Amino acid sequence: MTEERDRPDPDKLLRVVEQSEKRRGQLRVFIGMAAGVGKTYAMLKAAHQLQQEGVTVLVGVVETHGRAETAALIEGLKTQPLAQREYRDLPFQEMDLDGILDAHPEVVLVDELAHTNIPGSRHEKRYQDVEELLAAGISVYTTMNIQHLESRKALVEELAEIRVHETVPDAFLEQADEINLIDIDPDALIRRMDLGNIYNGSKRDIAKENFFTKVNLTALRELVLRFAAGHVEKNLLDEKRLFGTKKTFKDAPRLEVAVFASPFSESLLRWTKLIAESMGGTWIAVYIDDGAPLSAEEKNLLSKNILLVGALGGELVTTVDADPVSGLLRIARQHNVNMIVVGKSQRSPLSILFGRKNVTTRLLKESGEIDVCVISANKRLSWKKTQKASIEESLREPFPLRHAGMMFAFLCATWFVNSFLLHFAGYWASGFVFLLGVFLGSLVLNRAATFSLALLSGIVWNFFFIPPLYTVAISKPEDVMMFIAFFVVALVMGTLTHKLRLQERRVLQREERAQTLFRVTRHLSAAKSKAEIFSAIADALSASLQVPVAVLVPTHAGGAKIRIEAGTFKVNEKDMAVAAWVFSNAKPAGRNTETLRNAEGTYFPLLVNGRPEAVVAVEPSRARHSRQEIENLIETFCQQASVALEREDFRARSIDTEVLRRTQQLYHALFDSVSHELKTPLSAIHGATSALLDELQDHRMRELAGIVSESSDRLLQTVDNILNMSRVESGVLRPNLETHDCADLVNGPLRELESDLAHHTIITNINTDMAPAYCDIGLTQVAIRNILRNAARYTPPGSTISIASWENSSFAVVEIRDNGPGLPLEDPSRVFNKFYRAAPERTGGLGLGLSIARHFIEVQDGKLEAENHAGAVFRIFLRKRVT
Amino acid sequence: MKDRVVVIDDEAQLRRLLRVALADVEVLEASTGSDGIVLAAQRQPAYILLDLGLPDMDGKEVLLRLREWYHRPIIVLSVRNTEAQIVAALDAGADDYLTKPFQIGELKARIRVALRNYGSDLSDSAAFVSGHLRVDLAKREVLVNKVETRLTVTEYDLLKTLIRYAGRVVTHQQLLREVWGPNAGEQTHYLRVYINHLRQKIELTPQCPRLLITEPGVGYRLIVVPDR
Repeated sequence: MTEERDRPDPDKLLRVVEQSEKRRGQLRVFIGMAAGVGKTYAMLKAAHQLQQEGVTVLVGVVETHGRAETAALIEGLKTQPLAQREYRDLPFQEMDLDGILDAHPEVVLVDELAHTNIPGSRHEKRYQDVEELLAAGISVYTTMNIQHLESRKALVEELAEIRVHETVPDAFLEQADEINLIDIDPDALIRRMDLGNIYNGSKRDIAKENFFTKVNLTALRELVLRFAAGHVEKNLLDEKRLFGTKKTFKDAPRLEVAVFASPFSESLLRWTKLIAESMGGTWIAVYIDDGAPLSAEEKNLLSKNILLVGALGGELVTTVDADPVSGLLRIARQHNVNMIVVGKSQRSPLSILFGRKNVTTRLLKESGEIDVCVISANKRLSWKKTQKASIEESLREPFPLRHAGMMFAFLCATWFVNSFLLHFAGYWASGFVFLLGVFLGSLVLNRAATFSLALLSGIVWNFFFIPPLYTVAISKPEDVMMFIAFFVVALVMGTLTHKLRLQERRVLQREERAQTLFRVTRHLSAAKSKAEIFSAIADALSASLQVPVAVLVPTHAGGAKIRIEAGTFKVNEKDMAVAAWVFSNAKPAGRNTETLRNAEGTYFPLLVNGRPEAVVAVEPSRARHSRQEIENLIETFCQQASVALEREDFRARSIDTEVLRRTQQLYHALFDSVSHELKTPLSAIHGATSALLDELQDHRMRELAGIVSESSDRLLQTVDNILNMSRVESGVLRPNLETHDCADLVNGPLRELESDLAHHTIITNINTDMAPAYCDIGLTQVAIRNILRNAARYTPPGSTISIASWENSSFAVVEIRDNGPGLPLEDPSRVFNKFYRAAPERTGGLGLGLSIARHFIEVQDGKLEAENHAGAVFRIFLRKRVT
Repeated sequence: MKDRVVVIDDEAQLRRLLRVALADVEVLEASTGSDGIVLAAQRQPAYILLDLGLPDMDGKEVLLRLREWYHRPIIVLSVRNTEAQIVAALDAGADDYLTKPFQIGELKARIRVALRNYGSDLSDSAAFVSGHLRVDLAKREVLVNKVETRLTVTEYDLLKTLIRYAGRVVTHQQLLREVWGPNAGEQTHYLRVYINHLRQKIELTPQCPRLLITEPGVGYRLIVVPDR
């Protein structure tokens, strides 16, 4: 176990490699405790430095706040003009994201990272613009204040008693390659403030009064210093983990927290993040889907909280479990969690009454080796929301008008029946009729309405039926008992029926989910092509969400354009661009998201093995499901689809392989027959002329036979070269590797070319003691023959060709050099190009010989080099046998 | 009466060429392996020229069938890059091989060597002479340029085996079997090392041997240089 942990984390290494290799831009953040510490100034200084080093720098957006020194620093830097936007008929200026992407500088300066863009911009927040710039490979220098950091927001609000509206997620800042702390003494900052260096005029006084007090600034300074220290420590730990330093992170804690549909969840998440950070650990948030239906508002809250998990840099795990405690513990064990963070439960008196066991108590009891950390709700932070929430708690669910109406109908109906019944059955019997009403009502009403019905029925019964009539008072003690019993029975019955219905609904939902999954699986397994797979997904999604859905795919592989592949949702022209963005960025966008929210539809990437394969478009207007639900559903489908797509891929590939195999077969057959048909007549000519030359005595006749013989030889060479080139290009060349002495490699070609080399001086200096080469002798001899023939052809008669051999640690080397005119000066390796000839008018030939030589050597994992050194030098590097 | 020769080759032009070139013998032609076997059985030729790329049978198969009863020289013809087939044919009993395209002179020389070896059984009393090399097999004496050279036992055995097949190719397997015994197996790198040692002692320029030639991928050949 210890050894396991000591090993460098492969994922981490991969991420570092990705960071360094992928052309993602670098992020450098200048962070400070407040406005006016000099972040923008420092950033501009750094930019000038870069520009001097020759890096292209572009000013994306810089806010000078009218400060002269800062404005002066912009001089000399290239600036991207701001884009003009209109919102509610007012002109606004925003950073021109597309302009910067087009200009594609190496580094861009983006001031005020936490800025919120004007509605109608591509992204809601500026940091999302920065994200896109980084993804496009542009490095970004940016500035921000500590109060805008998502996880510090709450603390700052508490410390400085201000509201912070604009935040940047921690996860975003964690990817920063460099964080520069811009620090200044609070007194100095206040002095600068007084001098008007920060804000001008009246704005200054307000700012000072509210925010720039020494107490505030000192607190903020501590915050930012701690943040920067934490970042440094994290970097250190990363490095240590990378290079496998022992005893680091051995007990890096892992925290778990539940995320649920309540405002309290938000502060729990923030606390977990802070605890995890201070302990140097990681954390996961678990959403446990217990099958209970959520109201629209709860869905909203939930997706907001789930988004917060991502923003705070946590990992979200979703699971289905009817019992939250067992769900929490199961996920905790699966993810090696050492500590579970829970809130002090705020239970309504009713839930205590009905004996639901406290989650915290049960967790403490069942958690075993896992620590449990109990946090109290931070009342001040979210007082407004909690207040609203506690009202909600008491009713649990909103009370729609429909239910209220139905409830009154039940009340009136029972009342009506009872007013007849009272005359001959007495008021006790009418009590039972009221109970019956409550029971029937509970079958259709929600819990709040059932409780109200029980309450109102009781009151009506008491007021209009139990003597003394038209008073709340009850005279007889047995009536009091009866009345109390009525309430207890009504409430218990209401609760039980409600529970029963809830369970029934859960079963139904589960069944529906299983059905959907089954349906999509069946469709997918029947699908025979990608198009059918996507259409199956579109159908199944549309059926599950009950809104029009479309699946979009790129028009061609790697293309930016996108088209509708399947589904019923009509995507308009403008939204096509949104879909294309989703495809290339692999993130959701459109309505109800943070990106391009002016779109008509919501767009989700369909990821298969982490790569986007398509985009799913959902019409949100009639969608009854939250974004989280849709994403979960899509993810489930993606898992199914990835299997189907992979299968489809395999099928396509196996067809390709078969085609390739047949092609190779055909190639071999064709090659053999062409080779045979070309060479056989040439062999006959060659043989016949050689016989003629042996026999002929007449000088003229010998000359003629000589011409035939030489021409046929040359034709044979050409045919050989063409066939060899064809072998190279078909890719079916398989070297037959064996050990051979260099002398053997060289001597064969030398003997064969005896007549070609008759007018040259040959010097061989082969080292016979060296290790043998491990090569294909046929291919190597062709290479050597071609090089020698080349030397004979391109050097004047009487030149010297020397052949030497030696070895180094991994190669046996054969060197062939001549003292002729040499190779083209500017690039000797050009001689290896196909059809390259030095002097076509003089020598003839196809210019294939050296190209073949290089291919034949390289196919044996060797190298062939050419250079000029008082003539042409060729070096053949052949592998030595590895023993 | 002229000697008879059987040429087994599917190429009509090549058969025609050989018929004309080998004017001093009667050339009997066969275009398939089975025809060739029948022809050889009927006419008892002095030697056989066999092409390895026949349409009806594998060349090695033809060789094995011939060798069941035919003990005179068989020279195989083949195209380049078929070393494995050549080795198989040699190991199956072919005397020598020639790759196409070949010179007629070369072919005639091979035939001469094969016939001489077949006719005269080289006895231990004879002396072998080739260029600057003279080996007295009776005295186990090796003279290089008339200077006595000492060989180790294995080197001498190797040289003796090559002399027995002088002028013909000897495959790696054959050499290993005859020098190191039947269990030598596939130790071709042994052979390479000893051939190198032998070359150092009997060649004038060991790095560019003139007598002990490597036949790439097939084996070795001891060249017989005719006396001047």
